[in-house]
Amino acid sequence: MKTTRTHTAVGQLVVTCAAALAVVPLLGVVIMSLAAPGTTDSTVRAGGSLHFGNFADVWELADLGKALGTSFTISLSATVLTVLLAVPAGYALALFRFPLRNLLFVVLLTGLMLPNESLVIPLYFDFREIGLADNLLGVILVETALGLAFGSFWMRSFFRDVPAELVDAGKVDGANSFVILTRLLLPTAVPQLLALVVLSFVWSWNDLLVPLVMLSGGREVTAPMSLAAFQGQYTTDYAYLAAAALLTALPVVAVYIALQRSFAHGITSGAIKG
Amino acid sequence: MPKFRLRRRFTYISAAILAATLALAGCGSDDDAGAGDSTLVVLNGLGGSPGILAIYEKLNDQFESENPGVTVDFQTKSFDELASTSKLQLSGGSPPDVSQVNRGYQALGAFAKGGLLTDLADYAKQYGWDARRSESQLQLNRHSTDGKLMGEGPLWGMDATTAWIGLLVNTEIATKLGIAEPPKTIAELESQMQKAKDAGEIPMQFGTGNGELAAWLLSELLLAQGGPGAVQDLVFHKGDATFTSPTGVWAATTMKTWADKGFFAPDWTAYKTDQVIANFTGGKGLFSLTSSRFMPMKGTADETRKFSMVFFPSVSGQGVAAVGAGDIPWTIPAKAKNKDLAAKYIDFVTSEAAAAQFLAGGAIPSKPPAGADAAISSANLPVPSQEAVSNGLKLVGDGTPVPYVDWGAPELYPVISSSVDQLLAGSLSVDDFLGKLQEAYGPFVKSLEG
Amino acid sequence: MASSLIAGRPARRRGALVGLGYLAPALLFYVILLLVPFFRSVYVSFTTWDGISPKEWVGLDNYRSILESEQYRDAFLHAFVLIGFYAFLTMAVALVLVGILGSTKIRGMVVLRTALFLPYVVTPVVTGVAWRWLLAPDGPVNGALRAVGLDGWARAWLGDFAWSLPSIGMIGTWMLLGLALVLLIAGVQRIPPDLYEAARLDGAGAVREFFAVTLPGVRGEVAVVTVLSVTASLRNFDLVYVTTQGGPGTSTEVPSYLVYQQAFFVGDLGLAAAMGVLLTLLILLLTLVILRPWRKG
Repeated sequence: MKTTRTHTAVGQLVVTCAAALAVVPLLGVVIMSLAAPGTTDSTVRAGGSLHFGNFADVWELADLGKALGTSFTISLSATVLTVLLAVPAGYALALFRFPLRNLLFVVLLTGLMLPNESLVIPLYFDFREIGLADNLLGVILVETALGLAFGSFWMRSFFRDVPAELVDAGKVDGANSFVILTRLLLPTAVPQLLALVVLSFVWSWNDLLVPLVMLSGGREVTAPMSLAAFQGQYTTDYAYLAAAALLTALPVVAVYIALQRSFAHGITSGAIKG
Repeated sequence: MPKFRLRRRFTYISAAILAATLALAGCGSDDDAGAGDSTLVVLNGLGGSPGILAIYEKLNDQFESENPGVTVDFQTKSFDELASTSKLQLSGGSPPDVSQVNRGYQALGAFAKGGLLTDLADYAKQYGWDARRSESQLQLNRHSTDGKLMGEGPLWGMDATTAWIGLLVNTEIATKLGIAEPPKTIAELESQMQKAKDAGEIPMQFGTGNGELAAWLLSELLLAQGGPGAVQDLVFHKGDATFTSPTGVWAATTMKTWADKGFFAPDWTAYKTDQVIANFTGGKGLFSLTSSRFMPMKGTADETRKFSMVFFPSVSGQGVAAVGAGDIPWTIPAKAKNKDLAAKYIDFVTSEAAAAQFLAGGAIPSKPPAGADAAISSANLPVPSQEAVSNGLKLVGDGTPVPYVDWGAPELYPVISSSVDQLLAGSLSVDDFLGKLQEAYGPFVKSLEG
Repeated sequence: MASSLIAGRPARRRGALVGLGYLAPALLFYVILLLVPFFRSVYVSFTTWDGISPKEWVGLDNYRSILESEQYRDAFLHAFVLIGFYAFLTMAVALVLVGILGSTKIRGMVVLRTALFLPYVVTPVVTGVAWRWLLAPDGPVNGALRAVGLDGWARAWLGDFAWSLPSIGMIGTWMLLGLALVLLIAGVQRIPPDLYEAARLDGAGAVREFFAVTLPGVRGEVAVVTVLSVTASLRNFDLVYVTTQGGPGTSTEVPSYLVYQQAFFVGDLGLAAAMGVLLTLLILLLTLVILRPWRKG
């Protein structure tokens, strides 16, 4: 390994700076969250007394426990469903030949481009007719569909780059496609799968518009929706808003931290080695 | 391979979790009401306003105790959420029993046209609501059933509270500048602002980060020059009103002149409304536009003593009029299940007893209860709040509250907010500015006439 | 390349069916839940509809008024500017960083990586509030500029007619950089070390290594990041709403914001649908153009 010491030091410095730049704006929000309740001034002022009680307050005021639970249900379900559907889809699109394959891929890709804002109201009306409006299942289904667009793209990308030797070895052993997928290919896909899990979770968690409309008639509230409790028509309670926003961001950060170790440590090159 | 076994276990576990959550999610339904009891579902857009929510909480408790067996399910959303989603609720099979509804051709008007609301005429007669409000107040909740005419036709809702737009004055700075009285005429306002500018103070605190202040300023200036008729004609599509009228030209030119003379706070494009008020409360600025909804202001009685909320001046200095159109009304959706109970609730929150409660909490009821003045002083509100309330009551009592000019057409609000920016910054001339507003207004009016 | 595929020659048709079988669940899901509603909204785009009363057919009127409107044309132009920031600037910075990281050991990667990912993870409300504070006329950014004597540079960033759009672009870059890094790093770690060793044995320095081994190795991830950042730049309604609401004037109006305004505020679902269709076509076009270099043979 021919890495010089300065090279390492520069690398360390650069990445640390980038991380600091990423975090500094968020520190402002942290300071804001400790300001006095009822602060309608969006300037961050350090030096006042620190109101740690804000977090407990917003938990109660916005019924955050329930909202977080709802978000968890939605995001977890949507993520699992997305992965279960995207893996075979990507597999098919990458390693099988069938008519219209490329067209179908583009069709799935368009899911990334559909404008939620103009679709969601008519979708609500349609869902209402089949009883999927104002309940979690409707939201989960829509979030899954939205996640599938990227998910199938992502998994296809992985499967296309899988070494041919790996697949051939499986065929030589007489394995059928399912066995090849599950025993040979998926084990090497752990970083990719975890990245997909994290992304699906983050997207479905942070999506404000779809749950806002889909759940508008019911009692259910997601974590991002609950932030509205601190945004009045003209004034916003920035201290409470910041505190609540931080609390609603924590679960996603936790999921990321929990999973990032697995794709931090590299993987072996799979079954081909040695 | 250990990894593979782990993978399988993971798959089973996640499948189980998924099945469980889907099952829970799919059959999530609520089973509130016990036998014989009724639940009154009340949808409101008061989220984020703890002051008024506290008052309604008290009122709801009182309503429940006066009506045993009834539970009030007070569903709170933020104003934005309500405005964007009430269409969805009202058109469904089980809308709330009582719902606040935003005004405007695209909101209340569209709902009236779509038959989604209950005509309140019978209830109004039964409970005597006509006597509770002036016709100019009731008018704002009327809309013709073809959706074309605002201010005429059946009565669809009743507002419980009102708010108005006025001028905030920092009397400490005023005294320092030798100004004894708040301005009654536009000329006085301008000269006072000039004094402030010369002394290095910010004459008018302002911000267009949100569109409100721009729309309020335009409405107040039209009112100042053309009187209530100028705004009402535009909103109600009467008399072939246009924005390119002499009144419009005067209003736009005045705004532009103020900007050119540096009367507005520097960098006004960067400030949202709540920041503007916060800046003003922090001592920066002699004047600011405000809504009575910003009362009570932050701070102790001593700290806020130096602020005063007065009527925005007019050209002539005569008459009591201001932009202030009542908070969004309570309506009864057409498909509501408990209409009679809903009407009873509306009657309750618009009653004189409720009015006293609103007053005690610092809000302005749409009709002053008896003994209002005494109630205001005993409510121990800070000075600007007292003035906000007493002036507000004067407005709905003897004065003429006038609607916001952006009600005139659905596109007006966003067009006003972006065009005022450009006018004040100099990238739009007065004529082009008014032309833009007219473009957003004229075709709409024509489409309704057809 | 694994295009040797799973299905051998004699079993071609069966292989095709099996493939379709794997694809079917996802495809069905997607078609029913998103594609069909999209085509229905295409129908709505030819009408005027407030969501309550019956639809009124107006043919191409909605499309005509959009294309003839300077406001909408400007909005699409603004979208292009944001793509430049969200996609190209982000990718450039991310690739540089990955190039530096590629073969060096960084201490504290767990913490650093978490920090880098945070901007992407927090809701737009938090991002908006944080950056409004940073970019305020008397906020830290201006404070820092003044502190180093660059007073002339200090301005009301989000309130400046010329700088508000680039400011939003920079916020987008800030938001997406972490995501780009996460994905690219995942890709880099899949590159077999043998390739690096081979390059080094050939005497390649760090830069040559990057272009010869790293960049081709993450080609797939680069495509993915590009697609994601382009779509993020065109679906940034939340951020614009919290920061500038399209202002000052119309300088930060973007298609997604106008669609929301029309659908939820002004209330003409037909016009909103037409805007949505145009936006989709634009994104589709852009994505196909961008992805073409990555289409393998």
